[in-house]
Amino acid sequence: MTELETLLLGVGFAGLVVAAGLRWLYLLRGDVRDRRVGTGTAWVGLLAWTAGWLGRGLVAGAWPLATTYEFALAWTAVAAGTALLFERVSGESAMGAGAWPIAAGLAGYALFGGAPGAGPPQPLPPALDSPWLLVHVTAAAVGYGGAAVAAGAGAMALVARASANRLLLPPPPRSDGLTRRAVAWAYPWLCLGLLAGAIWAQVAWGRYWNWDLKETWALITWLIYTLALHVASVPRWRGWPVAMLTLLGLGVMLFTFLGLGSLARLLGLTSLHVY
Amino acid sequence: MSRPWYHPRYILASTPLAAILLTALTLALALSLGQLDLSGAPWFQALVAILVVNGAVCTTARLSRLASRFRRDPLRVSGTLAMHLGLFLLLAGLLLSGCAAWRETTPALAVGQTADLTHQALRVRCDGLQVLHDHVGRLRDVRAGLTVLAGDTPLAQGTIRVGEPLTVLGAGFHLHGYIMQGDEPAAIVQAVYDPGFWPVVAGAALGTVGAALALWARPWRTANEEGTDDGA
Repeated sequence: MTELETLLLGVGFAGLVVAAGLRWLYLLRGDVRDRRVGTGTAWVGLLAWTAGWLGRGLVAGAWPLATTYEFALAWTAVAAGTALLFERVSGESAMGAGAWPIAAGLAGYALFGGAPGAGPPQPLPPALDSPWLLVHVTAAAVGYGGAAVAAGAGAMALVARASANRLLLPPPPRSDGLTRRAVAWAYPWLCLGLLAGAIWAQVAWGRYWNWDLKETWALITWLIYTLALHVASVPRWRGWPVAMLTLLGLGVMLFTFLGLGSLARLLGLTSLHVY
Repeated sequence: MSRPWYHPRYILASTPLAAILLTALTLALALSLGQLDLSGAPWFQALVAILVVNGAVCTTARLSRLASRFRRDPLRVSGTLAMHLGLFLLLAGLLLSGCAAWRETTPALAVGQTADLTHQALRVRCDGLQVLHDHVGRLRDVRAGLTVLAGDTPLAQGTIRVGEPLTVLGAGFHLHGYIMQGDEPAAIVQAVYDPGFWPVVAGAALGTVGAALALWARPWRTANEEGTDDGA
């Protein structure tokens, strides 16, 4: 990690934390200055974070998505950026209030959580040196970012139900609609990530599906979002059940991303995806 | 006259049944901690089979409604259909893989050595093997020169590395790894024939494009509207 990368990521992390705090302050107080400054701070944080992440790739001469650390950088950037775009298109401040704390948590993990691969960028080992890496991991990062926004929106929809208008949140029909929108955005990217991963596995290992630990948990994640889409199409289920499924989906994603290595070690399992 | 809720066709075509089956599949995989290959278990296959029947009956039962919606919303209707058709194609590919695919791994082949395949009357000869390291000793690349023979007649010749197999008569010859035999490296080659791969890829691609069409082709102004049950 270069000094410039550390500085940019530090600014990005601080920006996301401050933006999340200001957004919640706006929801509590209703002062429009909190909203504007929060949005500006989020943009500064996002740009600094993205510059730190992509700059790492320039130093390495490769697309910076080869390690757990680099994926956490990408996931943070995509989650924060997707929430900003959703806010801009929908005009709802609740998107940032839900998603930026998640993005800040991911950023905190990348910076302080001892994420594997945080050292100086290394050339790719032969098994990872494939154009399908670019498609597979990029699609996964965009899908995971969208899922983080969906979970944030789902959490806000649940908070809106519980807060009884004490917070400046859109009422449940609107917040439920935003949650479904975010799921709808994320889902095709998750499909593309699985498809590209299967093609990559076929050319690299001669088997497109190995029932590997990580593959199975990726399938579980995909099934949860498939379930969320089906549940959302039943009118009486499209409120809090979908919101809960987005939170469950994010929880499984975090487990797949962070917890599988520990599970594999605990159970003495081998995985092609645990290094 | 409308059918009662317990009519088999009504149940089989219902989205709640799809939700229940998806929940059961998710729970089964999660409770196994993802460490078991459940795909061979009859009850797991039965759940998938019911899900396929549910999807097929659900889609056909809505064809007339989808046809009437097609004129005002062609992208979403096409996407919904493509998503479900893609899933059926993918599952057909999985079935084909399960029935007809074979894989065979050769013993470690030093340069000049040959191995016979049992699945096809072919032989594999290692013509050369390069193991490249960088200046600090990290593995950078492994390349094997390979000839595939029918009897003593060469059918194809080429260099393989991880992610770049040699394809002969529909079978891919992958570099599976290498071991050191004394001071000399020896290549391990895996021959793979899987006719289900392309149907799986085509199905997944169709489903992905369908999902994008069905889920993205909706104007933002309707985000807060209560939609209809469109099976998406």
